[in-house]
Amino acid sequence: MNNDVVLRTEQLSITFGGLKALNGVDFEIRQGEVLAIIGPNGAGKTTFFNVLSGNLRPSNGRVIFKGEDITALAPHEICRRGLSRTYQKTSIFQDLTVFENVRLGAQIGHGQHNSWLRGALSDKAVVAVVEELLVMGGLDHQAKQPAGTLSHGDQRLLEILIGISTRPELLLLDEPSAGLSAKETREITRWVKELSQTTIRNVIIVEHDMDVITELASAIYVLNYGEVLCQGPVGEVKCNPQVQEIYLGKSV
Amino acid sequence: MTTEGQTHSSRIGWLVVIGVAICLLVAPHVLDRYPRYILTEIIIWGLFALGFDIIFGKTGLLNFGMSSFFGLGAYGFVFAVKYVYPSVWLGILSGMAFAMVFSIVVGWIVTRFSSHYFVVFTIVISMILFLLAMNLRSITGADEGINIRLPNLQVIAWEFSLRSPITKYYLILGVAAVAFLVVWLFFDSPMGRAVVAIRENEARAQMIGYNTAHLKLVAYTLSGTVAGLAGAMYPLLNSTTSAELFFWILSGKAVLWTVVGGAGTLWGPFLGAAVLVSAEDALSSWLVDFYPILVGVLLIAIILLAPKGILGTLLEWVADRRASMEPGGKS
Repeated sequence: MNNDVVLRTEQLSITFGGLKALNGVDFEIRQGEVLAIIGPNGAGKTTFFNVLSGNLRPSNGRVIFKGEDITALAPHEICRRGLSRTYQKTSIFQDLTVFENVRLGAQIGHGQHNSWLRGALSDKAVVAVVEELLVMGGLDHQAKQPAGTLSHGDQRLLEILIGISTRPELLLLDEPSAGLSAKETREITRWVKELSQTTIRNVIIVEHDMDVITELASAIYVLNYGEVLCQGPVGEVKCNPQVQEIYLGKSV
Repeated sequence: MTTEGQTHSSRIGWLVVIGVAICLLVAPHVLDRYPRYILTEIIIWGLFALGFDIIFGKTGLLNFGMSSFFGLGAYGFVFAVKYVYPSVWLGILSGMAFAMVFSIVVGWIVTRFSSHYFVVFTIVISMILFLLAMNLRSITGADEGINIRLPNLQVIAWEFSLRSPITKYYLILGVAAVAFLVVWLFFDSPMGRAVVAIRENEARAQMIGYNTAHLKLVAYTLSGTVAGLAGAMYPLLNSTTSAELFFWILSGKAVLWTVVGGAGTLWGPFLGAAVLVSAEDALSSWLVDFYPILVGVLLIAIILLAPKGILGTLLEWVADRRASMEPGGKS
């Protein structure tokens, strides 16, 4: 087996009622790779993420993360092993401050989650990491605001900051550009690219926007009706006539 | 930036705390017998409601069976003092232990259920306990309860008689203050703040690595233990206990006091208990039939006008003012 592989799935399948949302998906991401998953609505992209992150138990198949079978683990156990995700529909702690949103993840990254004999702000290392992340995301000036008062674009950024605050080795990004303007999309893309070249080197990204994918990913998996239709380098997949027909339309 | 405004309002906050503390320390010497009794009772009810605020205001779980913990705390105290050894401290520890063991066992089951089922389960379990307490007359004394003779209070080498209501007052105030401080510090710790994350967004809390089932059990147990501690104060004040303490009306009152005072603030339950218990006391003597209606109207008014309760709304107003005074803040 190759030590280079960060995460691998074997024949991953899940059925809802009679519907096969995922059907024998074999997937692999290696160290330092940024992979994209595309496919039409209902192709199983988010379901795939839900299975990887432990929100859904597959009916068949296995998920291997860093050589360990994590298929049956709960979400928090998977996260603590170094796999983190963001959501397509922003999922933050609305009434807590922006700072606290990121701090909650950072204290997990520092193994502080079970301590109750000290003040949460007394750990300077955690506070420093949070401040660093907020500066990185450009949210340092809004640190004391409730997260729910941020603009949609800033909430999308916060969503990713929470995702990386736990110091994951593998980050799953579920449509980071959802609902963003063209300008905001360009900004967040640039930001994620920088991120993937520095801190979090292994990223799987589900995205609709082909420009974002071209900018970020080295290879693409195309899902259709829960099956891997094809995979390969971005340029190759974009030219695949089958892919163009089902997903990209004739315009690309 | 914000520091100046913040130190200013936190200074006001400290002044309020010190002012209230002084009032509470002086009160028993100023007040007459009856208002002093009511104030002592308010501290007990406030502590009980604090237990509810931990599970509801902070964790986001509506536990409608708080009376179980209160009743167990009261009986834990009475059993220990009457049958084991006549010591107030043993009684208090025993009351807490009764409530704690019960909350761990029940919490282990109920925290596995999602919101609606959780509420129903807590009601059902407290009903069962009430019926048991009412029917096991030989053990609990049912509605007649059990009367006890309070032993003297030992503090290291000193001994105080608990016949003095003022001594009782200070003991109860001291116990409540320590419990409040412990709860306050818990919610400032990494683990306590993670509990609040459950209230905000449980799915996300799991996703960033929190074992939310475990944290809910911790919160449930802390909540039950604090409510049990309040329950142990009841026979300390009244030298008696009764199976009626298990009745669901008391759970409803904890909800009312907490929501009116300000859920999730920890101070709110005490404020709510103070407002409603004194209002009940003042009004019910000449408005016996109308009192429940008045409480209903008050509750509706609070929910419509100040959904975060008295203290919650006040704190929000202060935060808004601070934000609007700060240049570049939200206007």
